[in-house]
Amino acid sequence: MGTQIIRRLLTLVPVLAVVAVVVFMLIHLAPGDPAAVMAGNEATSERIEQLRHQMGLDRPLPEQFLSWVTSALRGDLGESYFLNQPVSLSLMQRIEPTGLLTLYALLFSIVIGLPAGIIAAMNRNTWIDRLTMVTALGGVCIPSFWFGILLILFFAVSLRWLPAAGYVPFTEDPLANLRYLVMPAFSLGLQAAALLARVVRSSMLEVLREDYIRTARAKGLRERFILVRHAMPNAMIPALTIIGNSMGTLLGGAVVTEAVFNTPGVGRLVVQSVLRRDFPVIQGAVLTIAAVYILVNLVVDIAYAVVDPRIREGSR
Amino acid sequence: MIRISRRKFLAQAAAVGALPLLAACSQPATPSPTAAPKATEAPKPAATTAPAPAATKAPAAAAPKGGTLRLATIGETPSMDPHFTTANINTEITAHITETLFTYDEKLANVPLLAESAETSSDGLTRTVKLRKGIKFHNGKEMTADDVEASLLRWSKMAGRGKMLFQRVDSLSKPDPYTLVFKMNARFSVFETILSFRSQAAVIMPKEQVVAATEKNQISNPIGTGPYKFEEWLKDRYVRLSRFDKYHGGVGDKPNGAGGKRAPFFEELRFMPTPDQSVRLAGVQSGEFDYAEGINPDQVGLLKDSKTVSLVLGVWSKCPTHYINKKSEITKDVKLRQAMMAVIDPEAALKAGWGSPDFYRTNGALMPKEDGPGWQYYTQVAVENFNKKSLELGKKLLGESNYKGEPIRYLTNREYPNMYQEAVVLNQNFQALGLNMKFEVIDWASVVTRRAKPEEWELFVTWNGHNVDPVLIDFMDPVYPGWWTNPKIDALRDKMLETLDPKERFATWENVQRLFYEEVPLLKLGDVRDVYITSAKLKGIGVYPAPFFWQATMTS
Repeated sequence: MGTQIIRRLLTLVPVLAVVAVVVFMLIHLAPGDPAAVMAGNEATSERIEQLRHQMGLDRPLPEQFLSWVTSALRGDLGESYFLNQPVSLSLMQRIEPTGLLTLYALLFSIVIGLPAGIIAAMNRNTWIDRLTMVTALGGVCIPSFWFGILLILFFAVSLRWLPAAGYVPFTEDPLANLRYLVMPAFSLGLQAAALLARVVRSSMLEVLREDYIRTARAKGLRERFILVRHAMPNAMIPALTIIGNSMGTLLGGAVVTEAVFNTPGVGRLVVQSVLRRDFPVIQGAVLTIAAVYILVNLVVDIAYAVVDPRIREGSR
Repeated sequence: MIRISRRKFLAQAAAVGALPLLAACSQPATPSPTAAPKATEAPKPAATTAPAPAATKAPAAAAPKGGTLRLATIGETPSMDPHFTTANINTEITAHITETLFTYDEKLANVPLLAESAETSSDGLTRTVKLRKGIKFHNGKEMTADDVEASLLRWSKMAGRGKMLFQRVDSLSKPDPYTLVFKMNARFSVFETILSFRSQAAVIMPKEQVVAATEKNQISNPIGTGPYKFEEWLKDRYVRLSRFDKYHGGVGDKPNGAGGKRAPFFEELRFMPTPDQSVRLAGVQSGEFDYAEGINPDQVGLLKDSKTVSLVLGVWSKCPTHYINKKSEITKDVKLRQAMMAVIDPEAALKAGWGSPDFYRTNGALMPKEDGPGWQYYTQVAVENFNKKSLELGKKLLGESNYKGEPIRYLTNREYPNMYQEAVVLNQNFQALGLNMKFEVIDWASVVTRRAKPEEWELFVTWNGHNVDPVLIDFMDPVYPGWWTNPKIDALRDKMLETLDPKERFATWENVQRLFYEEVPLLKLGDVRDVYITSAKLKGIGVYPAPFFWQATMTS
């Protein structure tokens, strides 16, 4: 298991190298000049050239790439053009909102999706099952940004229960932090919850048809005991895959959700940086997100091994 | 050991789990994401003269002074340095912190702000600016000619307008701490106008700060003489300003546009970048923000009957413009450009872009008729060539041109929906004329890059700010993309810059407008104005040169 983890960690290096080259090429080959954005709409071309020179954008591309890579290898992701601060600091300041949003969304998806799937499986082919699955289908289909806007209109504009947009750091006021993230997390987590419910239901149904479940029933065990002790652990492997994959999807979805709810997270930073052509931030953020994605997948794989002894054995 | 049934355990666990959620929902809607308005703090005595707001009527009853004003802006500023960028959002924030020597009154004419007076010698070559005494910077230091000189010199190296002025300045002397004398090498009619500008403005900051920054480093904590002090800038969250208690209070005893008396009411201003339009709108509706800008005119209709949200209309400060590249082998052909002018339907394009006539008006004159900067130069000369909508005339002119069906690249973007919609309509007009249009929808940053390269386009859409002096509008600048430069217009431009007599200048401007319709350097469709939404309790926001809040009050 340890060797496998080390091997997986080593794969980070080539993956990040490829990501670095691709991102650098893509953003530099696309039209759009950060100096022009910084200088504003009414700036003269002379002023834009002056800024390009100050920002080092008039140097040849290979030279710019080399200088960025050597700095990145030393752990320095460069300085944001637009925010006038180190990229690593910009990212650090925005990890908390994105991290908490993803975490809350994941919790929502588990709290809603898992019981919904189990209840549907237990009541298969009844109205409860159909209602749950139709709702889940709706949940998968509804775009999170649209659902987010509906939530804002209902809970913020009409009822005025929750704030429409913004953010308060957890360290400043945990309760206010929750108030600001409840709606974004719910809108982001709904899709993952719906997907989870559907997978848990089919997985449970499959497990409930297994011989050992029939044996357990024949032994006269109570239905709840069978469900909790025998069926659920075995039905959890596919659910774990979905939860693991959801982390990636949720991180991606956070980009849109953060825009809708004006949450100052990494997703909104990336979108704004693309529009501002803030090259160092785009490069640094994409590299970081790629690394996080790989690490999350690694954690999920380790969790498989913990849950399923067969995988643990196989990896020896 | 206490035994607890599973049912009871689950019920209690669920209750505990739901607590934070319930608590979150049951809190009263916090008005600010970071701090509640400080309305309860020691109220200061109300001003003896009720501040007359610039855009709306004076409030009947004002709440005690204080509190935080929460402003949803369209995005983040690229810099806090007023000399650094022309970005509107920078202007909007820093106009509260820093001040210029002159500004605009309610008739959009230049009036002194930090200057006490300005005199011009009879030959027009010596400008003497007297400074007001006792003006304090936020660091407590008094403003003198040394600070003004250092600030203007830095600005002259960074801003296009600064270069324009200082190319004509032979020497700048300071006979005493409150006087500056500019010896000019040419007469310069827009001296005060340029020093009133708020875009990449000639603001005055302490010499020490300006000299330390030079023109290469940005100033991140500007120190000014304005009604608000810079406090903190949390990137992508907010910029926080606090009221400057030793503020000089402006000029005179009543407000006059951006000039006159200035009596800041709020303790704190918070500019919160909110790039999504629907979030800004919902934020004001839900009480999260007190003000939002950049609202799509289509949405405004929904708010007209609202009791909690007010609409504030700006002045006619902008003109939608479709620039034609006069360096392109295809569009350097005057007959082709005249054919384009003959077929366009400005009304349809403006309606598509701006929705309601509340926000646009078709206008062939280059300056707005009234209630907009430069209205003094409104003239009907040659306007008969505008709004012809004649396919027949267009085809005739096209036949006289050298156009042979070459593709015409028309750059537009979707970030500014009104630009896109206008371009869609004009593109149809050009297709009907028989032009081989290549409609390119790219993002705004790409438009800005490509429009600077003459080989990459024939047409692009944007809007320009009207200017209190018409010679300073962007399309009059010979190096602005589109490049309207030739002996005739260059001579007229120089004359406008050198002539000090208002009547002579007006006559010269009429000739500019006449030449405009002969040469068709671009297509100007009309005038437009911004709309802002505010809490119904917020009164008195100013709207020009940028939205300002030093006269705004919150009614009880």
